[in-house]
Amino acid sequence: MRRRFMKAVWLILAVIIVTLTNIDAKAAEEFPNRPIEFVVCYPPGGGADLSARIILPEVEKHIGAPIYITNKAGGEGTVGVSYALNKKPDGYTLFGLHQSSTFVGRVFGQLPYDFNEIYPISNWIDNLNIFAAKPNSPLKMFKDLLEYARQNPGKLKYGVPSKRTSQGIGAELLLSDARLDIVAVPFKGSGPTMTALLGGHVDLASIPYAMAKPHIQAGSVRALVVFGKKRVEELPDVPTAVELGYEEAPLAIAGAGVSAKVPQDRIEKLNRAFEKAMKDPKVLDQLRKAGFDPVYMDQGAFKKHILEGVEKVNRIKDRLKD
Amino acid sequence: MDFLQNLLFGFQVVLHPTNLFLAFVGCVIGTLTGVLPGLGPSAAIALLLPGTFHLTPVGAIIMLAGIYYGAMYGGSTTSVLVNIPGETASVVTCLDGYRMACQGRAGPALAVCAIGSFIAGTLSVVGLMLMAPTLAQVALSFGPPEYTSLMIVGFVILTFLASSSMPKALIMAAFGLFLSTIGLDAVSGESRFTLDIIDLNDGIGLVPVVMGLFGISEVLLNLEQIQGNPEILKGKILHLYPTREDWAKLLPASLRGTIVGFFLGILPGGGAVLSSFVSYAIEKRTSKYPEKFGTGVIEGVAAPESANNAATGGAFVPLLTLGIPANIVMAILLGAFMIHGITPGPMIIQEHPDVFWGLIASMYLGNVMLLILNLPLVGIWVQLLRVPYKILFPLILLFCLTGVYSVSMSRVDILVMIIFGVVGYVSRKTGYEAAPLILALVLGGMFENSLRQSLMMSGGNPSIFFLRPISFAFMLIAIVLLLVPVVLRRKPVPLLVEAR
Amino acid sequence: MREINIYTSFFIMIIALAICIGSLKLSIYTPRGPGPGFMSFGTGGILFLLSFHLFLKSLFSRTEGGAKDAYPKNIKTTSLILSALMFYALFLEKLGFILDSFLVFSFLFAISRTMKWYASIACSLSLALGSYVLFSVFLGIGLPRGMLNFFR
Repeated sequence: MRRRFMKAVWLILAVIIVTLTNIDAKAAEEFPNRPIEFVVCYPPGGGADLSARIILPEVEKHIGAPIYITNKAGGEGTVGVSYALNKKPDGYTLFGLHQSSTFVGRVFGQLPYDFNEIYPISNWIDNLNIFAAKPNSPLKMFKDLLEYARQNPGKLKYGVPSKRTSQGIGAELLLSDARLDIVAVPFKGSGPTMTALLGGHVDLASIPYAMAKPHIQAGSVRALVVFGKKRVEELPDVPTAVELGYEEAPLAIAGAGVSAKVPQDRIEKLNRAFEKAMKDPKVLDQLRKAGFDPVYMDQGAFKKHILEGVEKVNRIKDRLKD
Repeated sequence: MDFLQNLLFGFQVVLHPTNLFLAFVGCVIGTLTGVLPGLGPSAAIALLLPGTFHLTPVGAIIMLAGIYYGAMYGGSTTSVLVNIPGETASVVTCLDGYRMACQGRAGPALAVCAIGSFIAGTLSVVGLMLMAPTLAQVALSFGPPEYTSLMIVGFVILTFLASSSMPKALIMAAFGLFLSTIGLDAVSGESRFTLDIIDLNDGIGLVPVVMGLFGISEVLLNLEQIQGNPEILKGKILHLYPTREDWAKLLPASLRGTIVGFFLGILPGGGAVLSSFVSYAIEKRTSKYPEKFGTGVIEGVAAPESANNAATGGAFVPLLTLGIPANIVMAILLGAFMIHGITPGPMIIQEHPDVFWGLIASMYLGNVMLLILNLPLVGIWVQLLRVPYKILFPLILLFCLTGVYSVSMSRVDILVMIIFGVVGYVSRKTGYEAAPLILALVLGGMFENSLRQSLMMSGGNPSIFFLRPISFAFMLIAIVLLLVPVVLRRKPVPLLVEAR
Repeated sequence: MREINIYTSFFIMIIALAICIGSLKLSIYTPRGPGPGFMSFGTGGILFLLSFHLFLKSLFSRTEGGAKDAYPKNIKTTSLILSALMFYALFLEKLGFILDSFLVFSFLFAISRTMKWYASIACSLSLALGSYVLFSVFLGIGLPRGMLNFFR
C-alpha cells in the first residue's frame, strides 16, 4: 500500500516540477506571450458579463494573445478585484470595474483592497438612467413633480434597484439638490423595480432607460427626467438633470482595470488594444443592440471620473445609508 | 381562429431545418445541465449566449429557451438515483423519488418525472399562448404587500412538509430563515453575519447549501455503512415504466402541479423552486394517506416535477409581455433578445410575430423531443445503479464540486457546501430534515424584502396587508390553512408524531 | 432519541442566543419600519423558543433507545473524505482544475480500495481530463487553469 502511494506521489511531483519550469522559461519573452485572464466580477449572464463578452473578442485581436474570462462573483464586485490583485502584477490578469468596487465601495469603506492599487484602463458603458412616473400618473413633467413633492413632502414613493446603484445615486443626488422629500423603496434589481412601477405600487421609479423603453414607447409609463447631461435620442423633449440646473450624476461604470503595479509599457499596450476595440463600429453596434450605451473613456478620463464619483457620493453619503 | 393560424406560422418557422436542429441542441444541453448537479441553466445559457451572436434571432432564442426547460427535465434524474438534486427546483423530488428508487422503482420514478414534465411543459405553453397578456396584468397587481402575504402562506405550507417531528422541522425552517439574512442588507447596505468574509456579502447561495445538505451528506452517510453499499443497491429493479395503477395517480397529481407551477412561475421571484415545494405540500395535504409521503409515493414525484416545468412556461409570461425577467434565467434571455435587436414587451407580438410564435411552437416541439429523449434514457440511468458505490461516489463528489464552483467560481461556495455537508450529515442522523430549511431559505429573502418595502410604502403601518384585496385574501388563506387541522381534528395528525 | 434531542436542542439554543446577540448590533427597528436586524432577531427568537420547547419535551419524555444510529460509525472515512474536499477547495485555484481534481480523485480511489493503484490513477486522470473537457470546452465554463495556464 505504502509503495503504491509513494509511486503516486513521485509521479505527481514530477508533473508539478515540469509545469513550473515550463512557465519560468516562457515568462521572460515579450508581453503578451500567453493567454490573458479577464476577471468578470459578476456571474455569467448579467450586464457586466455580457458587455465584457462582446468587447473582449475584439480586444483579443488587437493585443495578439487570447483572452479568457473567469467569472468571480461576490461582494458586489469586490471579490473578483481582490482575487485579481492578489495575482502577480504582470499584466496577465485584468478585471472588471464597477461603481461598488470603485467609488461607492471607497466611500462606504467596503473595499477589501487598497483603492489606489487599481489602475483603471478604460470605461465602456454609460447607463442612461431616468426618473419615470407610473401609468396614469398626474405627473406629466418634471415641473409637476417639483410642485407636487414640495406641497406633499414624504407622500410620494419611488422604486429603485438598491440605493447604491447608479440609479439610486442619480436619484438621491437630484432629490438632495432639489430639496425634495420622496421616499425611496429599494427593490432587488431593476426588473422588480419596473414591475412595481407598472403595477402602480410606487409613484415613480429610478430605472435604466433600456428597461423602461418598451413601456415608454407603448405609452404606459412616462419619463420625467434623465440623470446626467446627455438626452435620450428617442425622447427629445425629456430634459436632463444638468439642463434643469442640477449636478450631473456620476455615470455608471463598466470598465476594465489592472493592478497599478504592472509595468507602464504593458499598461500602454493594453490601453491601445482597448481603445482600438472601443472605436470599432461593429462592437459599438453590438453593444447598442444589447441595450448598453457605449462610451469610451481612456485611462485619464476614467480615473478622473472615478475620483469625481468619490466626491459626489461622499456628499450624499448619509442619504444612501438607509 | 386567429391564433391557430399564428401557431401554424410558428410551426413553419420552427420546422426550418436549422431551427429544428437548434431546438434539439438546446434540449440536449438543457438535459445535460439539468443532470449535472449544481450547474444550472442560467450558467449554461449565459456561457452559450455569445456563441449565438451569428445565429438568426429566432434560432438563438429557440435554442436558449430549450436549455431552460430542458434543464427541468434533467434535474430530477440525480434526485431519484442518488438523492442529490440536479437543480434546486428538484429538491422536493428527492423526498419521494429516491425512496421509490430504494424500493426498486427507479424506472417508474424517472418515467413519471419525464411524463409529468411533458404534461406540464405542454400545458403551460398552451397557457402562455392563450392568456399571456391577461396574466401579465395579474402579475402586475402583485406589489410588495401581496408578496409578503403570499410568503406568509408559504410559511404555513412549510409546516406541511414535516414528515417526522414537527418541532424539529420548524427549527430547521427557522435556521433557514436566519441563513437568508446573511449578507449585505438590500435596504441599508449593512453587512450582516458575514464574519468579514467578503464572499458572503452577496448572501449564502442556494446551490451550495442544497448540494451540501443533500449531496455531500448523502455520500458521507452511504460510505458509513459497513458494506459500503447504500440502500438503493439492495433493492431489485422491478420494472422500468409506470403501471396502470401508477398512471391513475400520476395524471391528476401532475395536473394539479401544473396549475400551481404555472401561476407561481408568472410571479417575478417566485419560480420553479417555490412552486415545487408548494405543489408537494398541496398533494400531501389533500392526500388520503399523507403519512405515506416521504416513503415513495408517485404523487410526491409527479406533482413537484410537473410544477417546476410548468413554472418555466409561466416565467415566460412577464418576459414576453412586459419585458420584465421573472428570474435570473429570464434576465439572461432578455439580454439575448436585446442582442438580437428585439425588445420584449407589449409590442413583441406585433413587431416580431416570427419570434413570438416561433418560440411558442418550438416549446411544443421541444417538449415532445425531450420526452422522446428522456424516456429511453430511463433505462440507461437505471443501469447506472449497478455501478459499485465505491466507484460512483468520487464521481458524485466531483460533479458536486465542479457544479457548485461553476455557479460563481467561488472557493467560498465550496467551503459552504462542505460545511452544509457536515450539517446535513449530523442533522439527518439526529432526525432533523433538510427540506424545510431549503424552503425557508428560498422564502426568507423575498419575505424580508417585501415586508420592509411594504412598510416603507405605508410609513410603518401594518394595516397595508389587510386593506389591499389580494393581500387580504392571502392572509385569510393562511389563517384558514392554519386553523383547519385544529378545528377539524381529523385523525391524530401523523405529522406531529415524534420519530421513533 | 431522547438523549440526542436534549443535546441537539441545547446546542441550538446556544446558536439562537448567539444570533439574537449578533442582531442587536444591527438596528432592529427604525422609524421607517423594520431595520436590518429585524429578521435575524426574530428568527433567533423563534429558534430559541422552538429549541427550548424541544429541550423541555425531551427532558420529560420517557422513550429511550433508537439513538444508536445517531452516532458516527466510521469517523475515519468521513474525516478523510472531508479533508480531501477541503484540500480540493483550498488548492483549486493554485493547482488548477485538472491537477487538483486528479490529486483528490486518486486519493479518493485510494481510500475506497477498489482498484489497483495504476488503475485508479488512470481512472482519476481520465476523470479529471474528461470533466475538464465537458465543463470547460463543451459548456464553456472558465475553470481555473492554475499552473497549467500556458496552454490553451
